[in-house]
Amino acid sequence: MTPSWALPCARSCARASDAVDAAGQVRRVARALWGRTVQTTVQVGEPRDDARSVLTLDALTDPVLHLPAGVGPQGDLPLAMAAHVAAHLRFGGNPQARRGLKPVQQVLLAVLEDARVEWLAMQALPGLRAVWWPFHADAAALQGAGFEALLARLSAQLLDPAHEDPHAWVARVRRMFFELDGRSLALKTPAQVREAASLLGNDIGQMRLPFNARTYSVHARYRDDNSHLWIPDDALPPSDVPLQADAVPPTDEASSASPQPIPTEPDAVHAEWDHRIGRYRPRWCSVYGGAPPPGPSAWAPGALVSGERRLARRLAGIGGALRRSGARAVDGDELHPAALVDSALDLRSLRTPDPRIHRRSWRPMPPLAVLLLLDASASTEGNGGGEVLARIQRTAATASLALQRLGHRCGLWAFSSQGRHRIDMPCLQHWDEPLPAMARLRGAGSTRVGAALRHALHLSAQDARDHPGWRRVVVLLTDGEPHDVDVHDPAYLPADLQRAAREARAQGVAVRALVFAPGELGPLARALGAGHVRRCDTPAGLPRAMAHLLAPVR
Amino acid sequence: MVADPLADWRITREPFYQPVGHEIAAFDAARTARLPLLLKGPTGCGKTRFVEHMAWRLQLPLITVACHEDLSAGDLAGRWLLDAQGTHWMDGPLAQAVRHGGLCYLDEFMEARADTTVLLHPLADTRRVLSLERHGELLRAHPDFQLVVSYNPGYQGLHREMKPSTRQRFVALGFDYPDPPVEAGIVQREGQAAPGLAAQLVQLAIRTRRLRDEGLEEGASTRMLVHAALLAHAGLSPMEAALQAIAEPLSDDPELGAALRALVRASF
Repeated sequence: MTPSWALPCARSCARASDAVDAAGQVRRVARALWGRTVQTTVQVGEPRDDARSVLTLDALTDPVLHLPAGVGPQGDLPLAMAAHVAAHLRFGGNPQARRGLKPVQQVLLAVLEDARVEWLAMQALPGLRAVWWPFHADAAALQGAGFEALLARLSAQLLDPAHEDPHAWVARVRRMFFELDGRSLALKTPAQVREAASLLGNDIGQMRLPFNARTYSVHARYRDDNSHLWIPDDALPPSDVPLQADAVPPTDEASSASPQPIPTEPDAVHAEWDHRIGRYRPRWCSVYGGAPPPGPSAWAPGALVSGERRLARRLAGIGGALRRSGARAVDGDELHPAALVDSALDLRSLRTPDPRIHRRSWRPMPPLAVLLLLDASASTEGNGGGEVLARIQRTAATASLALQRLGHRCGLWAFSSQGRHRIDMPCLQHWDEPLPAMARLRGAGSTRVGAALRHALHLSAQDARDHPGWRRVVVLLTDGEPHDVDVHDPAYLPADLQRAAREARAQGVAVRALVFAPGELGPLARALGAGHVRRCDTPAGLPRAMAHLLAPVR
Repeated sequence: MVADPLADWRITREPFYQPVGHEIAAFDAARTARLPLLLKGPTGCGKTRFVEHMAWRLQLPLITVACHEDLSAGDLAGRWLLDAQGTHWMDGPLAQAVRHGGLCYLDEFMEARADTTVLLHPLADTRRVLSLERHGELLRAHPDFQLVVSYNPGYQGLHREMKPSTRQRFVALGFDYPDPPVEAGIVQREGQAAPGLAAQLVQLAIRTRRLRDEGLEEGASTRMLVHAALLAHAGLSPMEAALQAIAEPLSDDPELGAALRALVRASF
């Protein structure tokens, strides 16, 4: 089960949803085979028959396999790709220098190395031969005589020793690759492979077979281009395969205008409480909605799974008020008085009594509709790294997943302000939607939290009209106290927040706050009540803090 | 009064159990000290079999209750029933074990409703009493009474977490899938499998367990491997057997299902 947000760069792959599924499938299987983590993504551009995967290795991150565009999840191709890349990661050696090998020898080395890691993989997973063979069968049958055709025939020959290719050179490589028994591996190490490639390359030179390294692409579709076998060489021209990471995202309607069009009309204008005059200032704060700005994905696929699991388990233990069922049941904790009377009557009048004489009691957790309100002001950006905001965002996403898993409704909005005329509240996840792929938020502006809370109440009330009967909660995720550029009285915004919290209580909406380090509990605790505010300093503390905040919501 | 009210719950034939550590000695010690025991571990790794084996070894009747989300304190303690003569009290499985002396095993205890926990507290500490409130009886535990509960900490289901006040009354034994050679031995014996097939099945199970990080609730258990081996023994090809006993039952999710089938396909 991979939620849609777990897919890498979902935005640029949106047009090729099949490829996205294939990427997830390749990632899952490759990881499961030998426990080596690999991330997958899809190359940009139109599908091409000769496009091959590219595996990029970086010491700091997981290896990334860039799949060619247009790979579907059907058939054996994802499994073949996953098993091949997993075999490279499990059995491959370190990248080698290209120096000392001619292009022909380099290509030969790659073919032999592919065969070597696949042979080792098949020792543990004998089913792989049947998975890989169909991608080689055509080359084996066609028996072309050019160098590239010979390489394809050689790959088929080395994959299946039982297949006997009549070509003399292929037979010679076969004798080098396998031991005398024709099955066991002779070229056991990358160094032996390099030596053999160097030797065999000379044969090809003598056979005067032409070879164009620029147009060459590995025959079997599931194999990668093997660029990861080599130490990156700056002297070489860069690869012309446009990888996701450094490519310009495709321009479609959603992202064509680089600066987001600024909505001219606010979504809502809310009043604000001025404690100095003891009155509301009507139509004072303008709130703008919209979508968050696009950007690279905020977290690696699958990164939230374990946190979500822990939180859901913790929240599942929250019970609501004790309820006694009025219904009669065959078994239960206590006898149903009316059923007993009926039963006694039945017995005296010689009728068979109804066996349902018990009733049950239970404590169901009330269904919650939780609006998570994320503080995306400049202070959460921290020392430029955006560390606090990243934690807030991950926490909110984890909470949303866990709440939805438990059957609650959940929506996510971020907020930041630049004075009372401009309070931005982009919607990150609308009610009931599955959590979308989320770009990392950038903190900017200030924290006019009272106005944000009023707008959250407004959004919650809107949802309540369509979905009555849910217990409404707003959870504020923030790093500190209210602040805005056009307010100079330090008591003004806290007083307004206190007032907004009172409005929430009057509307039957519970307001809770989760405060992230280095924020202080004080100002929020004064406004919302000490029991309604909790610190959340580490991800591990989230389940406890959330359970504490949501448990008394009845 | 019947001579042995728990006669039906006695185990006469030795259930096969392959010890993987010192769990038998640990159980014996807990038994001697009359301490309640908590078994933690993933499903299908041998917790229930271990308890059966220990009940046989200690010559104790074994009352097993498979807990579920509707199981309440009344289901364990007992309740009033109605018959032609009026109401009469019937002990629940826990009360029976406490009254007559037996091993009461509450399987997947955290699945049961929260009120069951309260029932266990006085029983699991030095008081060793069960309060049958509705019957107006304070039942003192028989000297042979032994409480064992199991739960699965990794299970993604929506059950509760164990509270410290409950947790700290128990001594605990952690279970996990056995090491590959031991697990293969179990599959070989219980599933009547050839050594090669048993080893392949165990490797497949290890691969499915890695899918936990992708959202799979649990990887293939030892029990599933035994099932696959039995299907293969009954004539299916290893791949069909593994699909039927492992890949298909493990998940209904289309993506995880595809990954599981791919793993099976690669393995045989």
